[in-house]
Amino acid sequence: MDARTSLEELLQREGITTDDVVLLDAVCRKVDVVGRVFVAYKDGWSRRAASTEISAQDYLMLGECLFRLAGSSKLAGHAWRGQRTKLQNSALKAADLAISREQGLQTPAAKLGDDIIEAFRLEFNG
Amino acid sequence: MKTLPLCVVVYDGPIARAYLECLFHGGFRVEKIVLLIQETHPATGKQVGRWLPVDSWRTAWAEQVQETSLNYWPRYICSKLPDLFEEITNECASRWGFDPTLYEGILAPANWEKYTEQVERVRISGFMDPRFHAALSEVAPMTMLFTGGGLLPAEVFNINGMKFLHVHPGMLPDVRGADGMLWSLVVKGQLGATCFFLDARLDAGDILEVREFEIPSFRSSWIEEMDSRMLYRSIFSFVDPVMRGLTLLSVVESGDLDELAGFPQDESEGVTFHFMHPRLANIVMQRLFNA
Repeated sequence: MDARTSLEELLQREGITTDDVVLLDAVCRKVDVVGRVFVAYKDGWSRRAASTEISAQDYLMLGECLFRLAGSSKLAGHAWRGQRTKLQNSALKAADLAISREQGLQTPAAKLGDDIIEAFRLEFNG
Repeated sequence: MKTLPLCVVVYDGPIARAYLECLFHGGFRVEKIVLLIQETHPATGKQVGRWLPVDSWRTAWAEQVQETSLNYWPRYICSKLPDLFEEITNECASRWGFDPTLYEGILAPANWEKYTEQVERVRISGFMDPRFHAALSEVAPMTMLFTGGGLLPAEVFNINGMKFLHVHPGMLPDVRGADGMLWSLVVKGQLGATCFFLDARLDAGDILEVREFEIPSFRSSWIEEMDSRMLYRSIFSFVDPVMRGLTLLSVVESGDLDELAGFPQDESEGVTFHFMHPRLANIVMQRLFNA
């Protein structure tokens, strides 16, 4: 299962489950800590099932998915504040990864980055 | 001065020094220090002093190299940016009620004998190094304070009679992981540090104390005047370490170290955070630089 498809499916579903949170944590870890996302994973996202990294465009779309999830009704409310900001953080880092892989994505990635910053600033400053 | 039945595993830098200085200012020394000396340079990762012919010389050289490297930014800010240093340290001291001369001890050349009668130096390649495990086994049974970051290998928690204390610069169980101080400001709107028993999981052991700190307020013009990376380094040189040190002191003062009992965390609570993106960190730091 690839990260973006899993997140797209999650966006389509009602609510959010414990398994979904585990998936999100795994995706954030790949983006934030490993700094690379591969096209497929197995064993609950603990091991990669392919040696090919996702494309620069996919990093950008992954960032957009994470940002949309952070702003979705699934994660609304004070109890989800931590998870929301964690996803915004990873979305910003995914945008950076997209630019680092392909300079041509500078404009859309910068736009995504600015949108994330605006949303974060609004919530943080109340 | 009372000697605590505590062994401090020192990973040199402002955090380890703040623990020892806070204890010292509170009237405590510790039974033993295990000083970890890295075989590789903390910044470059290259072997240190391989050209030296004698092993003990390599250890001494590596100790000097890491002392300089791991304390570089606090000393740089103190000497090159004295106004920033003075403001941050005086504001924290005044808000949190401690003697600002504590920072002199943090910045001074290493003098471990000030804090203990026994210093053991252990040269290691990392926490998986058998010499690390052997050094801890020799100290057991005793309560240890681990001053480094990250996870320790699971085997060290099986050493008989060993308990590890650690202080996380964030509010557990809500905020686990990296940049705990900044994430606590985001998630809780508060500054805090948590003393807990370390185990093989990340920031998930039994909690001894969660201490909230009044949010300091530094001059907002620093945001325009100073590179944001330097402000980040200032916070992690002078604010985060002292929050941890004062939290440890509070736990030590609360009772007998051998009798400490924590309360378990609910692992389903809270979020494990990773390092904050610099653009988000800049926004969060404005909460501190707002005067």
